[in-house]
Amino acid sequence: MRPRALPGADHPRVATAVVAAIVCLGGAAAAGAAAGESAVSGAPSPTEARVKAAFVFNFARYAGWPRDAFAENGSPLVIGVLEPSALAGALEEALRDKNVHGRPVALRRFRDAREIDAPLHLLVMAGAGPRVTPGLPAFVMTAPVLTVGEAEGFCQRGGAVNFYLDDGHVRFEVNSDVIARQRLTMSSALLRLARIAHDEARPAAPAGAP
Amino acid sequence: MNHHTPRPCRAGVPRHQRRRFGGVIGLVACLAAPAALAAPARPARPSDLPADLTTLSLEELMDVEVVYAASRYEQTSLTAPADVTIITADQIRDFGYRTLADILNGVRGLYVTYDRNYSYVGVRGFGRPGDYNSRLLVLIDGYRINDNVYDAALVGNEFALDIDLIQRVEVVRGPGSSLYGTSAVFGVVNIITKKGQDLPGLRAAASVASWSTLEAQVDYGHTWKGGRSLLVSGSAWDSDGQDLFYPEFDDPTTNDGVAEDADYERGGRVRAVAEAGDWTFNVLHGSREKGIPTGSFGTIFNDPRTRTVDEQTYAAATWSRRVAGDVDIEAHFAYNRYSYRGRYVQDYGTPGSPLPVVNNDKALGEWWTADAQATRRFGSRQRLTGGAEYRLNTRQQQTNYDLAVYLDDDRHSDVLGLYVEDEIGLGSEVTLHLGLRYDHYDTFGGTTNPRLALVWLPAPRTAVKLLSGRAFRAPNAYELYYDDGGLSQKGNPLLDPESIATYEVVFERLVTERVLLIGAAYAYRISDLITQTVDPSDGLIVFRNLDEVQARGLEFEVDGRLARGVRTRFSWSTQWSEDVETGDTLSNSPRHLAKLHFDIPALGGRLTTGLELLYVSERQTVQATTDAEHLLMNLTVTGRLLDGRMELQGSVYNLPDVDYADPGSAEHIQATIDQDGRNYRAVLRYKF
Repeated sequence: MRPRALPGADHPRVATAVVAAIVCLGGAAAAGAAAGESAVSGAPSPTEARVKAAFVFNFARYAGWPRDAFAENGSPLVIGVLEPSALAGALEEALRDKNVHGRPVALRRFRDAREIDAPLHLLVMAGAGPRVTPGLPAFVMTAPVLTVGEAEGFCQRGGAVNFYLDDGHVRFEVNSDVIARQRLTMSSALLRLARIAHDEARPAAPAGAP
Repeated sequence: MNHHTPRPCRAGVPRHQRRRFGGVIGLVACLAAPAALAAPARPARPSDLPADLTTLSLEELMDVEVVYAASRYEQTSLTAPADVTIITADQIRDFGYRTLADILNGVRGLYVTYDRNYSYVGVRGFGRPGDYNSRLLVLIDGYRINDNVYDAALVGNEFALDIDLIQRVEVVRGPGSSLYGTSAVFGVVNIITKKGQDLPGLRAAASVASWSTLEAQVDYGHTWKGGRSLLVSGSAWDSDGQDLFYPEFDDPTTNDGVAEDADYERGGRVRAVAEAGDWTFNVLHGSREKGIPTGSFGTIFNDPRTRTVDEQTYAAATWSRRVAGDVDIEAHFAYNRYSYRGRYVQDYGTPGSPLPVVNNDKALGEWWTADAQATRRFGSRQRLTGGAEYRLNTRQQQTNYDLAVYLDDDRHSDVLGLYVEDEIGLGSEVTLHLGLRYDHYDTFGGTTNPRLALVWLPAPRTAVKLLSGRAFRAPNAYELYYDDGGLSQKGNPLLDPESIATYEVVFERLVTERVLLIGAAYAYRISDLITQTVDPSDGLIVFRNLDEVQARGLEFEVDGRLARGVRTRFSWSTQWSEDVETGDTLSNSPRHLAKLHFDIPALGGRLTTGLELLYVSERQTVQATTDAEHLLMNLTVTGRLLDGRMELQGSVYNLPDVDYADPGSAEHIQATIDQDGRNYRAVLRYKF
């Protein structure tokens, strides 16, 4: 049994002093944090678009293209964005001065699907999916082009990678059929974080589901 | 222990003093969350994010958060139309939190009291003793869990969800009735649970804590190709509790004031959640039994048979889908059950009556809900959400009996809510959020509650939010119908809902990429507060729409990530609240709250130290005495071994062994209820 102070009896006034100490500590912590970080860098506030743009950069980093997808050794890795896309601005920011696989990253913005041409290695696009996007050149679905979308069913309509939101976080799914068909590869570092999707025609994953 | 009924529980009302329960603090023992064993320092808030997000790892990117509860769809917290705090699974683990009450007690502006039976959350200076958290709405994955008899939110060990299964907790301050209907008076606590992919494989945890407290938990998660996933979990715990001394009972006839073996607590929980395509299936059940050592409600002191058992059951199916690219729809169907069984051993002291008498006070609620919601984006400028919620209360039963039956009341009712929310971008810097919800009750009729939020981003990484709204709390079945036939309490079926009008200004700024500053000011006024009183004409306790309360408050918080991954959070809240008519300060309403947290990683994330300091200034008790201020310190150290497969955790709660107490409520003879002294917990978690 633990003898306790009488309720309402004098509790240690020490608390007041300690509170003062807390305030000082808190203040010091904040100051320390502020000092630890040098000049303010004026970055935009984090948004879904910024997170997705960073993912796109990582897709480029963790995906593999066949040698013949590049004209020569130093050719840039070309990332296209089909407008209108909420990601275009964020991609400009995220991809500036970046290198991947020893190649510079070049961003191309297309105002219309018909404008899209090679060289192109990764295409970010709004819309329901490559197969149902009017005017999209066929090579986007046959050549080694990694298509990235953000619409439900994108991967079932010819898309390779699709963003979705889950529980307030950005997630992505990968259609491994498309990856294989378009002679791309994808590192397990990505695949283990992805939800795996398949073409529409294919039956859903075999047994084992709840 | 000499108590033999291994089941869990809730509070009730013995014959004499039929007030419903009273208040407590967060001491309870439970489990901290063994969050993801991967990346040690994860960015959780905008404040933690670097300017160039490509510098983050994939895991870190996946962990960047957006808020859900503030307006029912996901968005980043800086632009959320509310003052929001997020507690992540990592924080829950690092600070050794054992219950939802522990988690909430660490949040700016919130304070938890414990009366050794239930835990009660005070918000913004409002923590009425005897209020069973009916003014705080708790959601599980976005859906209401408060019961249909008391509208109570269970936050201590009586809460049916294991703390280990919480992915994060979003605390949204301010009125939420424009989206969620009743109970969202002071705020909404949305608990996002872990799914199969969050806890892959088989894991087991065991903990030992002070006062012979043992707990064990097992969970298994699996994700199939195509994204289908399953998580199942089960746990059980048992605690002897303490022998407690209460000077108010210091008499040879009442064991010299010592309650022996009466503080026990035990219970179990099961959970399953499956995701398949557009569907999510949820099952949750929890049961807790708690001995009441305080002699509350006029029960015989030191009789360990006095106890409550609370059981919560929830089964739901949710379907959500994006259709046509810019329309999201979600439908939800759920069954809920809540059972409270109180056993109160009493001495009626009347000649001829047996001694003692075991009084049974029970409530059983069952209800079904159907909820449908659609959100449509109109370009990037506007987002419109509309929804309907229907709740069918098939059982709202209250009984009380011992030698005779005093109360046997069962009700059926339904509630229909219709809501709409529109988010309109006014230029690139200003967003307007308009919300409106209509609820219809078959008791008092309809109520309409609006909300208006203006979020202005005057500069990068800076947000100014102007928020105002009205919320309501419908009179609950207990307040309407608890009537023991003229013995002590009568019902009042004519009760109106109470309402609150709130005005807030919130300023948030990322001072650097690592420091988030939040300043907030608020004012609220509660009208027609449902208050327990005595009818002078017959001397019976009755609930009436009596009081008006008004309050103003200021809050400040700094959340910073220091060098080497150290994260610190400091908050200060101060408030002035009063009963409008009398000018009196409210009971259990501390003028100041301060909280300081340090989360310190070491050894490349293999060792984490969580230090928590919680200050509560003095409070009035219902007996018009003063409960002294206190400062509490909790320390938790967590180590990860075997490549993160094993986690060892040790916690010391109330490290300096401070004597402190929380205000009791009307059912207590004690003005204040003493809280736990220094106590310990050790946890071992293993992933197979």
